[in-house]
Amino acid sequence: MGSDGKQISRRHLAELERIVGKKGVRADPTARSAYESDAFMLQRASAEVIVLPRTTAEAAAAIKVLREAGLVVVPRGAGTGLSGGARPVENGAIVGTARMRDVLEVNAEDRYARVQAGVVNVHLTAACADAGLFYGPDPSSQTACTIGGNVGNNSGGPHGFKYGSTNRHVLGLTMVDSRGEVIQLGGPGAAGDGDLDLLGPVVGSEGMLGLVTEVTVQLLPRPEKVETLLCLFESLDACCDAVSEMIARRLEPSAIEILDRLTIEAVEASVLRAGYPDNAEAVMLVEVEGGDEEVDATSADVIEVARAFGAFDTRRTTDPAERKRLWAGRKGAFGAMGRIAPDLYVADVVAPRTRLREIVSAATVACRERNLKLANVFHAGDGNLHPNISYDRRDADEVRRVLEAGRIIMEACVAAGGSLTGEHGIGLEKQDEMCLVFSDDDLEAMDQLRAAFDPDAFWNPGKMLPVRGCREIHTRPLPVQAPAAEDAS
Amino acid sequence: MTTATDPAGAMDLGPVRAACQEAGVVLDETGGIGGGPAARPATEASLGNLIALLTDRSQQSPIRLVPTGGGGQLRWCRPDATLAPAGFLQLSMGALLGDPSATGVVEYVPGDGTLTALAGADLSVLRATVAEGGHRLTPAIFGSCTLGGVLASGRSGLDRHSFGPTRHHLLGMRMIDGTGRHLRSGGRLVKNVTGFDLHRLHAGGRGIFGPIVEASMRLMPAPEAEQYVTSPPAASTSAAVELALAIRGATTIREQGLFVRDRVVHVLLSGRGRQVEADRHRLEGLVTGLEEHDPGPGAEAFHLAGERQSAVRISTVPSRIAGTIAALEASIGGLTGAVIQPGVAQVDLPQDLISGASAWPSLLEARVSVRGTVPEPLRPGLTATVAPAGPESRWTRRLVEAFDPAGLFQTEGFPARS
Repeated sequence: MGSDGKQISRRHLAELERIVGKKGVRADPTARSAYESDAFMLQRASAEVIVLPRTTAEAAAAIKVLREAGLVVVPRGAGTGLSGGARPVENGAIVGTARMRDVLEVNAEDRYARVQAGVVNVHLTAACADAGLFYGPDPSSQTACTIGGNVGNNSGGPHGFKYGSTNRHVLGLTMVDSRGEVIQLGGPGAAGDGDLDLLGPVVGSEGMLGLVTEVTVQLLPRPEKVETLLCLFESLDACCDAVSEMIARRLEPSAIEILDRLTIEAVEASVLRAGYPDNAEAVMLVEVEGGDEEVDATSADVIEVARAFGAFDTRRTTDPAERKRLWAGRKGAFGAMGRIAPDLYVADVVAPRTRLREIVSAATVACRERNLKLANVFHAGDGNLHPNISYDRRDADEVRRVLEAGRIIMEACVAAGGSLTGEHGIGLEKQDEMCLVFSDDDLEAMDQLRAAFDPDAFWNPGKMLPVRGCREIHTRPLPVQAPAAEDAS
Repeated sequence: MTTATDPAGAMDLGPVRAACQEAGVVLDETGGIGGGPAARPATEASLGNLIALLTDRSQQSPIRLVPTGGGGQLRWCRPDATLAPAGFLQLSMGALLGDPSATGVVEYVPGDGTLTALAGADLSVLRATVAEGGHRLTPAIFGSCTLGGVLASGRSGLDRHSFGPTRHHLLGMRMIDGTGRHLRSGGRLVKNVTGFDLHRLHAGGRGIFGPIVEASMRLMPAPEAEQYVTSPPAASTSAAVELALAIRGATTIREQGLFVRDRVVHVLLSGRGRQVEADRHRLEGLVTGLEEHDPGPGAEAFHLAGERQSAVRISTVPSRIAGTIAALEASIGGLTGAVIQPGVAQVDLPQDLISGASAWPSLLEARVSVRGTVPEPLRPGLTATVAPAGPESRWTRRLVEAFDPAGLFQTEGFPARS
């Protein structure tokens, strides 16, 4: 029951069961407890009911019932989000896409796929592999996270360096609005150039503009050749500097990732053992894709830069099994860190790629001063850092220190010209820090955008935008560099 | 929205003069594009003040505003302002650059591959600036145009083929809305999901939410080598398009641009030097008689040919473009050409060939989107096809109410509403 005593009635539950079937409605406390948080475990709440439709039509009908019942709705994919975006809210229902797992169409000729929102990311790529195609965004959680969730957070992943985040791949969406009406935005063959782009704001809107039920995405032709490189460094700083130099030299691999020593140890001690060497302080994992000649030339350039910055060993492979093993270690790194402590705080910030070393150092200092264990594994090519802090949530003081360190890392990043989040979203975790980046007017405008889509604050209320004004939070946005013309005036 | 106008559509300039004076903005009464009145703000603050004043006084002194850059996009993007320039107050965004020799570059970070520039900056100047650092700016659009104008019009260049539409390279923006608020969205980084992407509304928004002031773009590395090659003329546009589709389908050729113009297939190869040579060799296996063009002046000519503006541009999936073109050729004769991209194909229709409306029913069976000013006889059928559904229309209305409550920046027919 919510704080104002609102509880879904038996009549409404029965109506929901009629629409989505008994398996699609979970209202008992045990079932609801599984949905109390997403992968951001520090804040939990209980939903009134969990509804799991199988189709857009079911979702639309269910939304009408939930609205009539006076509940608000939090959309949810697989619950792998790391910012609390899918945590239930008071007087709220969860509408999940766990039973919407069909790949509806793979069109090889026009290179697109249409999927239900609950399709797991990696299953989409598997579904189009026979056609020689693949789906670009590959979050580390891709064996669990859903395409709908990826849309909500505009997810990226290691290969986002070349292919970009989800918003570059979504061609169209089917959504349900708060009245239960179904809307189609975009679609295959619609260039969208010169049209008002409503699709753009929806991707990355953290479930606050509507319920996405189907997604049409572009597919890419599988590259002729793929080579994976491993560059070993005695220093994390040198490894960061090598990446900055690769960007400065405008090299174009498809992924540049960094893993530090603690991450390597955790991976190598786990079932995901990738064969990372035990004598490196940092490993740079690089993937190069394209035509034969292109791959050969770019790989040679990458190795040249790595060696110039102190890489003491470099390895390269095109063997699919070996490449898969190397990537399994990288993508399983978060899970492997469960060996270090029961809980993991995965920070997600973006630094200018000229300042990687500086932000990594700031994170190291913040954690060392608070006696916290820090492991770094991140999308270095995009400047998207993931300082991972291991902790035990039963230790209240440690939780306090973790959150303090997290905030210091965010502040350091923003002060360096960086941003609060590269792919995990704001959710509940970073609401107050929005004032580090945006003014009250900016945030008011964002709220107006939200209200244009959802005037009743029906979708995922209380997320992303600060609940209190920035003046109350006492955090001012950092100054924007004045434009040259005004400097001169 | 109606204004106090004479039959020729000229506005009453008295209230405009007063507002400009109060806001400290220079008013050039006949020096705007097409001879219309233009406000030339020297600072962003004065521009914001002017918009706020005009909005506050819109009940007493109705007025219509249009942000302008080089004016190259206005004809199709804001035809109302082109047809009756005296009825609009142009907000000349180039004035914010100050000194005529200023580039408008706010920040170019070669080490991060990003560029931030004022909206009024000339795209060719920006392209030259980043070329010195080994980068290229997307979109590769040539001719006279500004960054803000290209963004607001939603225009992409031929490099859309390999890098996607221009909006995918937009990292963030500063803008002023219809109430005079100075707003910011996104940032200057290549990866960022902080907050709602308000800037995506402005990209392709044709200025209806107020002027773009500054934008940050992701840059791409300049290629090591480029080759511009063309096929011999085919027997028909349909035959040329079939050849272009075969090139697109050959995934071992990494073409970076592909279009048909006047029955000739144009192909851009670009990337690492040896790769371009290898791609050219493979292309020769598909097309005999390839002609290579000078990469210097040929580059601009290539892009200009591909971007040639047409009265109407129809988009559909590549698999339907051949059928669409065949139907059009049979119905209305020759076509100017088509642009073939990995996921989208577009056919260009020149104004003088659109008299044969009998082709349109077959086109409308396909899912098409239309860019450009739709000729009047065709407008009803197309509007019915492209008009959005109810919720989308409500969202658009509320967005306009929020960001341009007095309706000063609105234009007829855009965005389409049901």
